[in-house]
Amino acid sequence: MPDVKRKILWSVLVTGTALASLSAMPARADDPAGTPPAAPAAPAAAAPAAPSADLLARGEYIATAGDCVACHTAPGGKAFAGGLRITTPMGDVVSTNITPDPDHGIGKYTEDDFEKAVRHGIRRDGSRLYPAMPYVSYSGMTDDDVKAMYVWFMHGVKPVAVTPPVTELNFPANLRITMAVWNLVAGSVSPETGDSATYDKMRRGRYLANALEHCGTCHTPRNMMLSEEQDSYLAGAPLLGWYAPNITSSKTSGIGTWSEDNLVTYLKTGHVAGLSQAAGPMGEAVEHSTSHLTDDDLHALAAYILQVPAKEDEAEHSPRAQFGQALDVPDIRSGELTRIDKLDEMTGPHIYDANCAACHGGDGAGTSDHYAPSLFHNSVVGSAHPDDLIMTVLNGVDRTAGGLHAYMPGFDHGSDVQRLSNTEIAALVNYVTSTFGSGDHGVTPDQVEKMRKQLPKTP
Amino acid sequence: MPSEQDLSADVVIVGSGVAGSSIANELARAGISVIVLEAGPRVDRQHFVDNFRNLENKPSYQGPFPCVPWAEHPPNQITPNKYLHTTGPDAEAYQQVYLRMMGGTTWHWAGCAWRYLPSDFELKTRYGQGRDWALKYDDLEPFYYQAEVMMGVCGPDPAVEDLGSPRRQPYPMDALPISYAAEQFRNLIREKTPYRVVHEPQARNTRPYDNRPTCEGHNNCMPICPIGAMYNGSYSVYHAEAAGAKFVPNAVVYRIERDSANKRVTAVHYYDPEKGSHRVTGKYFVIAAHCIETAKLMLYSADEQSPDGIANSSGHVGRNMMDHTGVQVTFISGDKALWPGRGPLETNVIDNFRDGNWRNERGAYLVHMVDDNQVDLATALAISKGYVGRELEEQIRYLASHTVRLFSHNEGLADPDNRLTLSATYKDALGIPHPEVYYKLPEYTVKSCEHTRGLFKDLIGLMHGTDEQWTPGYFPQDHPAGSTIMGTDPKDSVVDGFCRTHDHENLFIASSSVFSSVGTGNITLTVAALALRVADTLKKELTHA
Repeated sequence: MPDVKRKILWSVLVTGTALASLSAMPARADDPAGTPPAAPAAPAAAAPAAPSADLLARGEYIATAGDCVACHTAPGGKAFAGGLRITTPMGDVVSTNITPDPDHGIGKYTEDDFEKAVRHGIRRDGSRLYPAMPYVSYSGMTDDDVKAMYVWFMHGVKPVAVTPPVTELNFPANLRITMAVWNLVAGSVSPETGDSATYDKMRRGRYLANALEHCGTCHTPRNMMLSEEQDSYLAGAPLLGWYAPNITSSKTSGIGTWSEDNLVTYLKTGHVAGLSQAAGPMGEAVEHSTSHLTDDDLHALAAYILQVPAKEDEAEHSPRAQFGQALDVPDIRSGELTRIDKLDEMTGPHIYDANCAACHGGDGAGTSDHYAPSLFHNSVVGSAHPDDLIMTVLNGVDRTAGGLHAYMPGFDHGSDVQRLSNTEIAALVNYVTSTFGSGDHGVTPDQVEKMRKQLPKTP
Repeated sequence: MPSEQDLSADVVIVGSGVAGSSIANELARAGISVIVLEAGPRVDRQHFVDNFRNLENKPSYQGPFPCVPWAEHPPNQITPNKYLHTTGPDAEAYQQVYLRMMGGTTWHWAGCAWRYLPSDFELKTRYGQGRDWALKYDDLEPFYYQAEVMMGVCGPDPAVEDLGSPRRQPYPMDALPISYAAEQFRNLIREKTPYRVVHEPQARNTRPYDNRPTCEGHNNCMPICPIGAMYNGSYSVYHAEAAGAKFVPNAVVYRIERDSANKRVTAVHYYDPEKGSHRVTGKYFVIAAHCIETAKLMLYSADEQSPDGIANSSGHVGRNMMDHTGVQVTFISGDKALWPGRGPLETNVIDNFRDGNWRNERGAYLVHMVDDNQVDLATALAISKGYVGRELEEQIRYLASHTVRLFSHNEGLADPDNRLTLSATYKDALGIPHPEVYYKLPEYTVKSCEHTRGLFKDLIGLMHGTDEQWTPGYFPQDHPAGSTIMGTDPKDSVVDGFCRTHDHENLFIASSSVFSSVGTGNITLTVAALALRVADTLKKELTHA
């Protein structure tokens, strides 16, 4: 399943007025997007002695914490060979091959080239990367960690001789110079210094959250100039259909009621009974990245996140995971059977009963082992933003972490299990949030249709 | 309703069950144009689940599927059932039920996905009984695997539990975990008998597979898997449609048209529900309409050119009707509680009587320990014993946890006298006659059933059983086969080893109707494998043409 995390920047970049102001800016005469790759540089320096196992292991760990694989791997494709196609209103962004193949990947990159791409968004040929690549976040990485990652990509990753399709965006986003201008505005942060492995807990947590895991890329809302609003750090933002929730320390709008252990469990397994579970982009972040972090790092990351200043969300007045209770199951049986060709749209309670109750229970309590989570005391159902619930119904859950493959089928037009209409999904979601969550949020069929269009395309 | 000019394709398929839809999927993915004509309507899971929840008689697995008048199917297994009319000494043993709608009868089945044994294809050669198939196990092996991957079949590691059908690849998924009841049963068989209990290969997910979830053991595979963990033909319909195959629901095919030489089929004709007639042309035709309906259609298409029906120069269309007619008993174990009903319905089988030299005189059989919820039966039994109040509740609990249900699949044999004909009395809403079947259980199967009864009595004794309830007579298993039998000689068979009719070079049949012997396992996987082999043949002929 394609990772959609890196779509967000695009969703803001290619919509709204900000884009017009960007593209109106001058200095596009030297547009590097149209120029061929730079003439072959001097061949990379003769291979030095094989790198130490420690350095390779560190590089792999840093690359995992930075979650490179999620974006640079196509569905069913070879790791890091790129080719993931991200549909935006302006065209498709396709991730690149970052295996060490010299012709198709980054095999000719020197350490310096690599550093420029990772921390500054500049390709080896001098052109600008699209900021789907979170280099603004990565600019906080230490020199040593960039070096370790470089060594691992060159020696620990298998070269793949495949060139993914070229990204072709519509005007003006097709002008990579636009990105140079954007960079002037977005800027970058100074790299951390010293040995990141020796930081104290809170500094290590901040480093993990910002320079590596780039949490803010999704969870921090953006300003008119598309930069993260630092005074709303991690306060929640829409994410191409999904909603990356407020994870500040607010007790009502954020995750201020969570313990450090709760958050560690969430990041390790994607699921905390009675609180929440990860699906969509966060499910993938857990699967590919956070579930592979050491316990010490998870605790550092959790401790740092839990002290982020509270930011309130006007729509959320009560902790998302504290709504609802088991339903005293009403008898909705009519005793009447319908003929097999009568496929009339059903009402919320019947849609729930026929499609959800088998796993989540007629009372909504889920299974006793929590494989199918309870729908009450559940952040996704209790949220004032029903986006993630709608997207979960459409898209399902497919997350492997902590030794468990959590799976729920989607109910969109491509489902083999059951295809629900926009009207049915709206009725279902309104029934579920009013029965087990924070109330009926008035989801409409049109809203569901818009979100359906955001689903990843099946290859 | 599609416009008439749309009604032409390279391959026209009649029937959208596992056979028809999987052929459509394979062909469409190879770029071949396909039209599938389905007599019944489009359907979906949520309405069946809703019907199941509304259904009073939960074990009635035809119950949640009230049919449409233009494509009737049997309402249940009783006699008379107002659709499939059976006659003869063992009429009640041939009350086969099936479904006519998009996706076919695998909407309700138990997911049992056996490969046949090599000996099943050579019954005559090895044991002097019945008939040989016009193909061997090895011819079908690659297609068995293809079918297992398509359906998502879980099964045991052959190195640990060899089921007797050689495999080149492991099962696509690991075998099901053993339920508590099955574990008790396994222990008993291991400790007190010379027999063994094996994992039944099952077309259900033991891990997320093909965008469907893992089986959670809801225990109502029949009549409807509520979560889509078990395979049914609707997935192949969806996959074929995504690949470009066109499905026409509510299209009741009633006539098969041939050229003047009567060598090639040129078109099929169907009625819509208002009896408007439509003609569909193609280069190749596949009838994949279930054993009963396939033979019915071929007989009903009789005309001046073929007064006995299509592809029927042998006179064998509609003959050789077989099943795994079996024996069933429930009883109350006097040993520890088993608590059946937690997990899929059918997962554990005694396979010691599946093959042996005795097959020269009596049929093979499988014994299923059926792991279904027994509260219905326990309640009826407790009430009949006169319990009331608190004691009634205790008795229901005790009986439901101690009930054992066993049934067998016994091997039928091709007998031309067991015959499907068109009813002279009963017609459906479109004026098409109902099917009628004469059935007399072959002596070979009777002997097999006697042997099974003996085994069941021994097992009841070993479990200190009481309150035996034997299903009277014989138990139909809904595995009809043989009505367009396969063979090498066009004089006594309808199709060849590739399921092509001897009489019409561009007409294929994909159904259990081609089985030459009914085999020693549930029929569906073999139906799917034969269908995929038909698709392979068609792909070769159409792409090389």
